[in-house]
Amino acid sequence: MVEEGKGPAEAGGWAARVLLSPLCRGVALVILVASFLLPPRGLGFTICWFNRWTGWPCPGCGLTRSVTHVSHGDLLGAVDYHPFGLLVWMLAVALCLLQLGGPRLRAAVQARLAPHERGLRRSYMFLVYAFIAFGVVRMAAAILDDTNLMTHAI
Amino acid sequence: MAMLAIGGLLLLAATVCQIIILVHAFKESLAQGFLSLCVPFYILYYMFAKFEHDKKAMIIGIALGGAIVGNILMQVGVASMAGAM
Repeated sequence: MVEEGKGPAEAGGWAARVLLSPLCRGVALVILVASFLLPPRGLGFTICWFNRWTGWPCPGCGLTRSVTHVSHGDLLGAVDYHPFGLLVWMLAVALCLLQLGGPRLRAAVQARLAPHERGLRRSYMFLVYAFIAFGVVRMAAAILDDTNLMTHAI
Repeated sequence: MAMLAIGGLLLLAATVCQIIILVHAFKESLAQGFLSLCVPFYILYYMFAKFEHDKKAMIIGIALGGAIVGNILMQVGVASMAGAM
């Protein structure tokens, strides 16, 4: 259980540090609230400096619009913008519920997760690498597409 | 053409180094990963303030220097190719 004198997030453990920390819950809350307030088709400009600089999508491009689409009930549109948007949305909802649930709920969840930390850690890193691999493949496709367009133009 | 090739290689190296930093951020915490990914220029703060690696200076140097020089070479290369046509 939770060590004496420490909150559940400070008590140690990988899940507490990486998934359930106050910063994670705060970021999740901001993501979820913004997803309901932002227009699903975006603001009309990109906040991604990589995309603005090169014209190619970074691994995270489309994620905001994808999460916004989920909040507005358009799951297919969400997957079309970014296949990881639905997962991020579910994670944000879970973390917001933990935030609202208070320290007792967080301690209970952490105690439940503790025996499965190794598997959880592996799954998490698998998803991180899958996320980045998807981004790299999408970026490579965009670069190849650009090169083809340039070749045709010449 | 050589400029395009060198620029492309530098951009590739910069991308690899930025991915190393991004993976480190996600390992540190889910929030750090998303902040580095989605908040403009947060990754610059992360790479200098929080990123820890044996070859930190080299990775940051390639991630930043490679991106800047690679992009300039690519732009100049494309412009010179277009001028030659």
